Amino acid sequence: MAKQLIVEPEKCNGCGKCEMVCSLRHQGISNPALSRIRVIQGEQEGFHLPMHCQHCLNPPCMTVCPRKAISRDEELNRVLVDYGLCIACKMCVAACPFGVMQFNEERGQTFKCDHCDGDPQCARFCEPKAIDYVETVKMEMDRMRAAARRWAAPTRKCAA
Amino acid sequence: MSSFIVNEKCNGCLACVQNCPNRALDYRDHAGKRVLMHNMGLCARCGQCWRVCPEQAVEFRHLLESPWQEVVALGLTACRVCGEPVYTFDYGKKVSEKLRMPAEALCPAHRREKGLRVWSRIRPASPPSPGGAR
Amino acid sequence: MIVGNLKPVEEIAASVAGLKNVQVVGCGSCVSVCLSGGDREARQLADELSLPLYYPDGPPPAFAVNGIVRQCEKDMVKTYLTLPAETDAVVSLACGAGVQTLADLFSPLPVFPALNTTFLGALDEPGIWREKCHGCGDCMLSFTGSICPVARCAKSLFNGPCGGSQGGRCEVNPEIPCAWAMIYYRLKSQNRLDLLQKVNPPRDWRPAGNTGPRSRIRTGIAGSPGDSLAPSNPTS
Repeated sequence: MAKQLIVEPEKCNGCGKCEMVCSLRHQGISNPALSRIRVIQGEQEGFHLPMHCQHCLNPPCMTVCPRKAISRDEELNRVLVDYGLCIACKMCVAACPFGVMQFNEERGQTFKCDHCDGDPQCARFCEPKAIDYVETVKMEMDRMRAAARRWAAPTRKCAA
Repeated sequence: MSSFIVNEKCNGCLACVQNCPNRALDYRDHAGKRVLMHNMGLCARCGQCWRVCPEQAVEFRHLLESPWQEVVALGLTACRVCGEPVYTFDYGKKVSEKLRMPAEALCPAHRREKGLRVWSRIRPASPPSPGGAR
Repeated sequence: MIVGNLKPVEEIAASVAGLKNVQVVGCGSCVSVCLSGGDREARQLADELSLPLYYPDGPPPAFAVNGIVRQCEKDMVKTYLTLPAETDAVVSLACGAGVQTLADLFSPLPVFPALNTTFLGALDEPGIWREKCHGCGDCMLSFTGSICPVARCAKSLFNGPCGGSQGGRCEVNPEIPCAWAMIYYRLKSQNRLDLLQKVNPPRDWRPAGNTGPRSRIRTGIAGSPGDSLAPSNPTS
């Protein structure tokens, strides 16, 4: 069953733990600038938005890559970069509409979310569960139920 | 700007020319002057010229530490929010061609922030949790 | 650096005797630096090979000189080295790697070696190159004060001198110093004589090439614009 990272920004309290564990997991140091998930602070909008690779089904990064180093891994429902083929031309960085393909200048390498090979640490450590790793179908059903409840509430009030 | 430099001790004996294994040194006698010429494309930087010169006139270090040559200057596109250069104009065109739509002139940070405005418009139906947003 | 020596000219002439048009191709890298196979040497060889005295049975071939910075890179040679259509054979002054690259590329055109490729060496002093490395694939220089017993000990001993050296010279070849004597003095100067206590076990020589030609493979650097899926096939 295909899983995906679901983000519910309303639940995010901006603690930044996801950024800390992500960079720790992937690069051994806790540094939000190296995190594959970045929490965007939205003062005006009124919430924090954790942003990560959307693992698009038809990824623009894959489309532009001149070495075909980016591919979709259907087993884990993610987009993967093969660093053996990557030439660090940064076309993927330029193409990503979400800005979640990042570039590490020191290493001369791109980096992005890879779902931690099936056990995303950000979801594991997020206390308010603003980030969760669930089956797509389950996420959709949860949302449908929540929306149904919201619709049903005023209907019930009217009927009463 | 050549990387093959000889100092004032060079007297034009041409020993370097005769001993270069790759014939990367040559000379031309013309209009009362002897002109020594060096070809970087043929030069293996083996150092024979430096070793063989009887006057020790060859400043080999310039072949090892040559100056940066400007190769090409291309126009840059900047992020329309923060002005940070994102990529060259030609590169942006290439990305747009591949995507079959115009590439956005935004740096990754401002691309992510753009997501905020999109998200705030399509906020999902989950209720805010007690510890959540203001 | 790869070092080689020019073969006897008679031997090279024998391989091209009876042919009409021969290209003599120099190499601009290692063999140039060790003064064996650069452009200058290629021209000298072409001149020498043109002498009728090497061809008792007929006229000498016509020789033309060519060259490239490195003969051992197939894509570069393919793009930048062209041989005239009427060429019957090539005499290459490159090391064995270059000769074989040209032969693979221009096959079935015969490509003959002009050098005997000898060793991996360093220039100890101007005009003297000495063997330093056997390419054994399992470098132990960290234990021997960076003096290689595999290449520089005539017996390739791993655990100290054989005891036969005299005056610091090797008993097998008195023209070379005893490598283990040098190792001892080097480690002494580094205060690391304790490394001599380490017993180096018998070595697995398979990484040294005893099971056939070795290769190094790296992806992500392949050349031609059309190639975007697979790394270059090292055997093609």
